Amino acid sequence: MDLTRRAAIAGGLAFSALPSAGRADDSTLRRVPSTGAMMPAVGLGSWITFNVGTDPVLLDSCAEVIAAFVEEGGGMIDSSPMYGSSQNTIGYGLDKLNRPGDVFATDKVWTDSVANGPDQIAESRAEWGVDSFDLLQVHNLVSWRGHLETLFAMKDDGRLAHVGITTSHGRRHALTERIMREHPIDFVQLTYNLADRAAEARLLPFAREKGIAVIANRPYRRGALPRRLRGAPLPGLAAEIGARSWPQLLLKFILSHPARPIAIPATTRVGHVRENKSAARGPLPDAAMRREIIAHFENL
Amino acid sequence: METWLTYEPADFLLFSERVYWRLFALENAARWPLPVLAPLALLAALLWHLRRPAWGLRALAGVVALVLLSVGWHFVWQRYTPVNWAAAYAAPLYAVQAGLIAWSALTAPRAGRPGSWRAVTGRGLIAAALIYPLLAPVAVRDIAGAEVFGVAPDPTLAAALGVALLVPGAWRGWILLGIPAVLLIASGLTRALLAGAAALPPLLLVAAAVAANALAPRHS
Repeated sequence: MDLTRRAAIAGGLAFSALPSAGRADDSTLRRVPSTGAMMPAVGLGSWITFNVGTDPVLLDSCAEVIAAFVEEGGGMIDSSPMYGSSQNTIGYGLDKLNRPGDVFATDKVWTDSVANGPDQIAESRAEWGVDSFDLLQVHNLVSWRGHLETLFAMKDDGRLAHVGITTSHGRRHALTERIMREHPIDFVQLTYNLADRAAEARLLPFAREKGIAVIANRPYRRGALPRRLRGAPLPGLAAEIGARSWPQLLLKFILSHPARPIAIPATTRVGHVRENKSAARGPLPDAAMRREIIAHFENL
Repeated sequence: METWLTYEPADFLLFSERVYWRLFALENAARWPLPVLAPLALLAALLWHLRRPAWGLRALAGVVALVLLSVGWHFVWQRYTPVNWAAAYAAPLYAVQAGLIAWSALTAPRAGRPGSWRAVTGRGLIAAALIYPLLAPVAVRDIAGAEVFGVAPDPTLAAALGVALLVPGAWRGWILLGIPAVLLIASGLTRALLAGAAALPPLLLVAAAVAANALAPRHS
């Protein structure tokens, strides 16, 4: 079959090698409702962790994290022009891996000036060393109207596979919901974790209803949750679902929401990447177990 | 604007403590032997100032102005801006401050009164710039990443505060204190978010300089 560039991008070529039968039910995978693209449920964030400037030691260390992520199945790597040198670090890591195919390149546009959006996107592409992104999002809804127009135009031209918006820290959920209702976005990124569950009220069920893929940022509250829970007993059901640590349980909780979010934990450690990836394997908590996890967490 | 108001200070801190302290180690290595030569030049100028206040002040101003240009370009623009995009706005201020110090020292009719509290504080701040690297071992950080005058911003700005207090005239002092005070407060706030107690040195330097200039008699 002669694939056009547009069809190739929209279909998520990076993951075309995944087995097709039954993969939407696989707990380790996520399907983008609007395009059918598949990717692993656990991605990789880059906020703070990959902002290492020109430090050669830390660049190599981040490249090892990216290598481990790819080795564990790859998936979404998320960044932003706001994240200092993180985009350049990702480009460096991908170069060292000779540009692996199993990365769902995800970035954002973040500038008050709509006119500067295309230039910023071009700079981001250059930092990553990619021809196009799998997903571009309007970062924290900054100048969202104009940037969405730009992104949808890129998608129509076949220069972009998916369009999304982001919010974090529970901010501006009403506006986020309005955009989800009025614009044909493919992804919404929001903060969701065991301690920040505001999205459960409206955004997560609405995303499911509208067929919008969800990305859960701050799954560990920038490391604060595992630090707070260090030494605290895991609930009894943790063993039943194969969660050997709080970070794994925290991720399993996120991944088990019926909206089937993609979690994007950021880390500087190879061991953490592998631990995060393994959280998606095996059983996830059901509705009753989720209630039990919340109750256990709130009683700690 | 409405969107910007939803950000908190911590949202703009996009790098880790490890990355921040390693910047100084990398810069010390890259600029070698400047971490030794720049403090020696400052010490020599300070000693000269003690013997010949007017010419010594010009030497101090010259040394500080030159290293401000160097720190603004090498450390702030080339090394710090990649991890902190806000630093791009700070870098030009180092050149402005270098110009202000050079102008002030060259046009000042004489040195300030050497025995005044203002001048004593000024020399104290320059001495603080020289011993600033000792904060690294005190804070149990690697000495290779010590902040050194002429390489790192804060001790360089401390020396700039010192020169501001040695230039006669409180109004000239205020003009010269503005930029280093703002940059040191920004450094203090960054460190407060990163490592708490590390915020104290830059903020104490600013407090000392502002108090000395504010309490000085008009013609000291």
